[in-house]
Amino acid sequence: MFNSFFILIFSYVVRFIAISYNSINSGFKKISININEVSRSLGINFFKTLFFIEIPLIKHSIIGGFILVFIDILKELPLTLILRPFNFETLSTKTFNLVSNEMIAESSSYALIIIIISLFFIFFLNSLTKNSKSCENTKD
Amino acid sequence: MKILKIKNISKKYYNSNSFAVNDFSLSIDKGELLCLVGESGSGKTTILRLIAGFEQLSNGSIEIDNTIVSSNYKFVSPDKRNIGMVFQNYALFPHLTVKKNILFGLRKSNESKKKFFEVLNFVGLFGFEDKYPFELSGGQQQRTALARTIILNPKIVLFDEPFSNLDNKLKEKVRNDLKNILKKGNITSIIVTHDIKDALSIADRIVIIRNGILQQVDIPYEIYCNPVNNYIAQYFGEINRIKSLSVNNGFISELGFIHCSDKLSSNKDIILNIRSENIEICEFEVGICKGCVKSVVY
Repeated sequence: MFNSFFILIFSYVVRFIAISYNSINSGFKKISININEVSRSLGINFFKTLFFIEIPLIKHSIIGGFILVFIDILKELPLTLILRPFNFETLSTKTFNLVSNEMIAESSSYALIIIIISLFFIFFLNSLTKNSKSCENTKD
Repeated sequence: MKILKIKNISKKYYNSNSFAVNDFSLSIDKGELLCLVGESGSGKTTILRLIAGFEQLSNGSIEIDNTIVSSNYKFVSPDKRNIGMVFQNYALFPHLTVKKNILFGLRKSNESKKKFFEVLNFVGLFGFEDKYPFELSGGQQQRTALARTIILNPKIVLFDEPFSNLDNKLKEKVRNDLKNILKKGNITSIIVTHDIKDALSIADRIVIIRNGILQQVDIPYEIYCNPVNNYIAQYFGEINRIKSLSVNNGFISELGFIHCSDKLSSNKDIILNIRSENIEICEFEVGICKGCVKSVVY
């Protein structure tokens, strides 16, 4: 299992679960408890309430949590270096290896890709936050 | 025909030393509009939640349509009780249109579309079916919440402070509209409110609760004119309280002697509760209090 994709993904989950949990939890806190209760009083079961009411209402938090974890994993180095499979490289390990070999110019292109991807998602996250704030007016 | 029977129910929350509801009993007829009235924290919302099934009883039993839905041995979950609930904030699903909100609890069938338009007309929301909740006024949101509930033909509809989010002008209109809709559909309903005006203007019967204990159940006129205790007398409108001593033919009070035609037991300390609309200014004579109007406040 060591140096396999499974252990790498498992370690990412353990390492970053708190970030996604907080994001989704804050989404749930924004939903009034009455929404769940009214759904139950309409004869709707737990799963239908979850899939048709609660998940659509917290979709911004889910996407936000995904982006935060994605950016963190994109630039994550120590775990990936230790647990990655043989011959498997990520942008951060590639950058690290090139810098270790004093190939600064070559490494800069990988570092730039990390920065550009991160910036794109940060802008996306920012616009998502603005959207969810304007939608808060509709919260019961 | 009694649709709801509440027998000696009590509710104690696990982190509390006192009962939120204590030995409360009540029966409701089909089509009746009942108002639960009490101060904040008196236990009225807890009673509503116990009926809906969102809380479990500590003691007693609740029967809906002659079937026990809640007792020490039985508990029917809220989705199987066929009881509608309209919350203080209406709890409309903000990402769904009026149409989808109303149809959410209804199983899709050929009749559901016909029923939807019937209910939409009934609550006066025709033309608003494609709007989202945030595009509606407070009154329209309330009617949407009501339509979403009554489309399922619930045995009882429970309202938790339905008028508290509305301004005074809108409140009066919504109150009258709601009463008309409920009466037209012969819908059994319980409305929780702390506003005596709401209760007096729409209720068939009023239930007054204090610290989880039932105080009085009666029609609005009796509650207002013949309250069973000082608390209810003071709760339902401005009242003058005058310490007096009863004598054979009247009272000796701080304002002087007040004549009473009823025969009274003598030498008893009592408090006279007199509503301001029952005071009349007239020529002075024996047995009538003498006073002076010092100021007038509108």
